[in-house]
Amino acid sequence: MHWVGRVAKPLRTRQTSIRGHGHIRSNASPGPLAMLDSGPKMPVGNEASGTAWLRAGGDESMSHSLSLAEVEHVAGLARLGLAPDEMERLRDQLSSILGHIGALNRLDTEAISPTAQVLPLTNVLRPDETRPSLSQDAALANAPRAIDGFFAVQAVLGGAGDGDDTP
Amino acid sequence: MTDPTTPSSHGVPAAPPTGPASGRDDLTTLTAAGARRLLDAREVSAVEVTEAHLARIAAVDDRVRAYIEVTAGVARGQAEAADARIARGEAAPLTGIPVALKDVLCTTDAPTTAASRILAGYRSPYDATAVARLRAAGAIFLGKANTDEFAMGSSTENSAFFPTHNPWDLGRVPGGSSGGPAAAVAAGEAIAGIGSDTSGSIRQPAGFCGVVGLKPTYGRVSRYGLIAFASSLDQVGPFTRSVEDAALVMGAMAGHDPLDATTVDLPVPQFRPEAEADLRGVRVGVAAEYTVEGMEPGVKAAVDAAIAGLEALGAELVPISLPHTEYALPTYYITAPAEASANLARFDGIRFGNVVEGATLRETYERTRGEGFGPEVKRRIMLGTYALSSGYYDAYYVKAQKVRTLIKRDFDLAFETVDVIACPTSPTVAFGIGARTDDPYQMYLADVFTIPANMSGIPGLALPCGFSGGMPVSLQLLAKPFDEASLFRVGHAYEQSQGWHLRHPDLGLA
Repeated sequence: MHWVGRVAKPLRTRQTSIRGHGHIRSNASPGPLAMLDSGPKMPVGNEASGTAWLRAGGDESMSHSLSLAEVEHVAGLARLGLAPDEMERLRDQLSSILGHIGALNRLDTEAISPTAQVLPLTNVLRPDETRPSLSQDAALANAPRAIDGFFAVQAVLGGAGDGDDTP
Repeated sequence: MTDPTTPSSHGVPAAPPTGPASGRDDLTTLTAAGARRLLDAREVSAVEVTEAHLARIAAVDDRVRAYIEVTAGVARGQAEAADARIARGEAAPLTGIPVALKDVLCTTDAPTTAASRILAGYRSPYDATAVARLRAAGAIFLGKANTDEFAMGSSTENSAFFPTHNPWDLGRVPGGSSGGPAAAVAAGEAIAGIGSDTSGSIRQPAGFCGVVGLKPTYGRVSRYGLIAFASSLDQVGPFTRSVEDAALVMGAMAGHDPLDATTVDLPVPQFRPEAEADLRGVRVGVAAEYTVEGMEPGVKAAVDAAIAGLEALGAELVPISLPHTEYALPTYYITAPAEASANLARFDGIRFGNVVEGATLRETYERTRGEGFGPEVKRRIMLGTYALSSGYYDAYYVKAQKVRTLIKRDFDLAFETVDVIACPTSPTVAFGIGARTDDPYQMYLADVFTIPANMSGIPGLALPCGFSGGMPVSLQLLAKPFDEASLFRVGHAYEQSQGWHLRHPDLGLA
């Protein structure tokens, strides 16, 4: 499966209903707890019911379902071996969770700068001095395989199926 | 207010009276401050306190299952050293105090597993800074306590080994992810617990188990040696039986650490219980966004009564608005998995952890991770990898970072007019084991009131404020960054006026 040049499928955004910056639209939303009030638990694995909570709040921009091929691609990126039934379950669960996350599109964040971390710290430096560190034995003590004081790794280059997924 | 030994009901159904009067060994209902007085007066020894807790663990932990590993040998050695130190007159506040360590904190003298098969049997070559500081203070390490795998969960049911049970009702979850240390403190299996809080993982289980839980300000306690989950959100903090104890334990761990560049070199507030007995002059913000439909009525009643209790102590209640509260949960479920997917890339079966070898290196990675990680960890790695992948990065990850700015701004604005914010810790009391395991998003909703503090970095204190249907309800207090002192002052005044923290589950052994 080749993914290079694949066209991203952007989330639909609600450009039309936005006034001001970063404020909730005026229509009542169900609030984060609406699901708790919904009696029987919503089944996972049914994308329609998973997003009904938000749709009921008047937001219809969040339907987003993953394909099995996308799940397989993401699992490959994460180097995560998944059985076929795990992939199907994850497709349904991730689609449902992404549906809830689509609520973020109710906010206009065009003029908002991103926050990656909350501290007013930048460029925290330390003196460039030698310090004590773990001994080689201690560093290797948990390695499943060590050879001659090194971590042992299977061949990365040269073999068939060497782990490079560039097409 | 009321007699501290007789919690006022405010119309909330009271739980059956238990506690010191129930006949339980007094040494396992002590606060750290209370134990300190007995130890310093030489009325008990650290060995006696430690043996009492080991006996309690032996009596109840087959049902509570708070501990993954009980380190009795380590504890006994530390207890003897603590007694010698006390005899020399060199005791620190936590010398001789038995604690439970969440098993995401690296320790040199016990395995550190993150409750994951991929790390089963792993032995860290170093102590986490928080652990090293507790060790240096003379605390006693009773064992490594259960957690959701890699701290990912809200019920401790995601532990790869076994679920922990709520000491107030063994059919219910203790909350999570730090359910082990929370249950240990509630059940008398430790005087204090140490947990980590990425989305509420200290405050929510503290609330479910009826104990005090503190998430300090991001940057207050070093995260060096805390197995990383979401690095812009993770923070180490204590579980205790009183607000005073929370201040003592935080004080023992807090402060700048050259090994964690996000720690801040600021003075650590000292707890002064005698300073202000009432809350005159304290402005308490009450946000409409935290009293929403769908909340359990008994929780709302208890929290409303607690807020009225703050007013009765002299605090001024100030209506505030935190309009982006409802967006904290979806923001979190992009930000945290994205960071987790990067942090957990290190588990590749090469340098540490368990390996499942395949024919190629890539196959080894995939099999090691596929077999080593449990379902919730896989779900979050997948979600985070997807949100960071080409074509989705802006739509999800950057979008979440921008909404995070709005959430933080809500708090910045609110703290211009109030000193603390009072709200529920969780929308419900502890739910039944198995009740939410089939529905990830339903599980995530358990953290809906605790996530905003992580997104904005502010400190949060959860403390008992009543009961609903026999299960503990928790009040959450939030303050501006590095103002834990306000949380301690308000929390202590409330706690002493009510006495809810004196209730203990008896586990049928009384």
